[in-house]
Amino acid sequence: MAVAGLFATSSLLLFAVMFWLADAGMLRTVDRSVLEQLVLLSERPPDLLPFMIASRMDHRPRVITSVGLFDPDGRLVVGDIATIPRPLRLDKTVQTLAIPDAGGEAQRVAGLRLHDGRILVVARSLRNVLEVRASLLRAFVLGLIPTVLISLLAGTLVGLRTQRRLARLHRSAERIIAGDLAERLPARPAGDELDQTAVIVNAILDRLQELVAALQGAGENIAHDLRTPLTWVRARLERARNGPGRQGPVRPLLDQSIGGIDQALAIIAALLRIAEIEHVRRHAGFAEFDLAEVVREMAEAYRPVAEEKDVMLEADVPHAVRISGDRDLMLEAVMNLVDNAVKFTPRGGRVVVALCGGIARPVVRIADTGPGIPPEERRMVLRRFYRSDKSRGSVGTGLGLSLVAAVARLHHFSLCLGNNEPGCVVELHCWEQAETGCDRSDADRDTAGRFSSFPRKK
Amino acid sequence: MSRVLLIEDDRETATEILTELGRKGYVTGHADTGPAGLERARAERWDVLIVDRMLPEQDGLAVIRCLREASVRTPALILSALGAIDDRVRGLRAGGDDYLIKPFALAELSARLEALLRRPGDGERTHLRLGPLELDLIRRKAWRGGRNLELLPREFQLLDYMMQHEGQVVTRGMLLEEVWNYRFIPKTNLVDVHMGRLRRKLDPSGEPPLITSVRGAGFMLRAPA
Repeated sequence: MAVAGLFATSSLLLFAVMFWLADAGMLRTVDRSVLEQLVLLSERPPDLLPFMIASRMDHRPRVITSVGLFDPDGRLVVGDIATIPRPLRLDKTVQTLAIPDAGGEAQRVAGLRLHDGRILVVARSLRNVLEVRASLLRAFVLGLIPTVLISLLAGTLVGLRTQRRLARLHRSAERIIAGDLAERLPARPAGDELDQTAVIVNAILDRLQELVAALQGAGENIAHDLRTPLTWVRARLERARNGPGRQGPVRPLLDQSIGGIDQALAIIAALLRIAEIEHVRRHAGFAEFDLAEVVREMAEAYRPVAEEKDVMLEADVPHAVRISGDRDLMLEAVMNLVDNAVKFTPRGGRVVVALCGGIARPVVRIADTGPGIPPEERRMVLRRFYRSDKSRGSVGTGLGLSLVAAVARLHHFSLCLGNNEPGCVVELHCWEQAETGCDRSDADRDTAGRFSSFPRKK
Repeated sequence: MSRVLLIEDDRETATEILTELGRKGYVTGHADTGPAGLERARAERWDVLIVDRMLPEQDGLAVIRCLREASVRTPALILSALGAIDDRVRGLRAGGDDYLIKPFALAELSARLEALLRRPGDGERTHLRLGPLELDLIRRKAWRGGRNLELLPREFQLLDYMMQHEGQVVTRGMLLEEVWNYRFIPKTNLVDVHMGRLRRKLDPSGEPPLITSVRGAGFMLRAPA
């Protein structure tokens, strides 16, 4: 828009300069012809002058200047100017004056008192100049309208394109900031400065992704290599526990050591499981299955677990919802969510496991009345090993939500954490999404501080 | 005395397993390559085989396939470092009878071996009976000493499985796989809670408990002496 305005203004300026130059040039031509005529006539022999003026008047085609010769008292001797226009300075300067016998038309006029006292006046109409002026203006108006329209259109198009490109850049950048290092900024090869910058940023991201992958790979390798020795340490401890002297004072120490190793092995297993889900990315296990049945089964499996700790578990799973995905992984993901909800809900609390959102956009929604997750921690709890301060007291690997997030990413589903006021709501949006994180309505809730989204890898 | 053949190339793993099995009173044999294992499995009589998935020269699955083609029906437990679900399915399809992901607790291994050794016959069962316990598999009802236990479906399945493995240690992993049909072993107290409920219905105070916890391994159902 601004570009279009600038373009229109500049064409206007260009025209103004052209108009001014042309107009001044034409006026100069008129004035020169008036003066030349005046000088030419004044240099003629005085007695021949009336005759020459008269013959000029008869001349066809008519010369464009008009001439008047007046006696010293201002009465017309000969010529086509009847009276001396007032106030005429008789010093050979060209003025614009109204000529009474030309109907008061403004003309360029110059006058001179001859040596014998007679007065010579030469005038020239500005009609030509005015006509040219009018055509110039017409040409300008006719030319300017399409120019402005075209520039407005072009400006809008360029603006929209730029806006769209910036929006795309913005979306990509948001995904990257949210932790999706596989995302790249849109860049055309051999593009403009913006594209070149994007290419550089993408190269930085390539390197970053390599480093993060190396780090992750190192972590996974360590986990993998630790598994076997830990298992054998556990086996030996167990043998010691079951062997002679099993009732001795080292018994509690052995029990604690085995418990610690079990916890370490559980963390390693969970870590490798997430890595497996993330790396293998197999869609071979994808098939159609009933999500409602999965959710119902989990609610049924965990109802006794909830009742044991006096937590009410409600299930709201109305209809069959068939989706395409890996049933076992989805079962595992829903299990982790329900397990977490029951684990973190204190005695007397309530967990609601629901499948809502209809057949086209099913949402597995698990709400509890536990301590909840503060908005600033929501993104972090999806990271590996992050455990909220409030959860420090309970057992777990701190990897449950990371696993759910990995399953969601594999399916291109999205996972949203929110506030149940009090407690936590976790939503697993089970349809394939091209966009990052929560859908529009949730992004709105996000701004209201209710929901926050997290990224998915492509 | 049950005879177990272990086909495993990793020395340390083999030592641990053989020590444990010896302690439990099994007669053991060991081969550290595929062909050697195949040879011994064919030449001698074994009650159960433990076969590592990744073996030098010949893959563990190929060994089992060869044995099955040669009509050797000895039950086989596959050990694998690969955790993928697909791999488990492939293992069982190749003729394996159970699948254990490395690393595993030795208690888990012996419980599964026990289950393989004492697999119930394929006969059609409609009624199970053990001491005071009675299960009607058609009507899906259970009684202890004539008292209806009023079990929920999952509790009934759990008891059914325990009765089939009477006198054996049953691990949480086995229960999750066989009763819940989960292909993954979650870190959860799910099994304990369901087992706890079943035990409360089964063993009211005053009567001798039928199901007991086995420390570090799992549970066992046994008829009272």
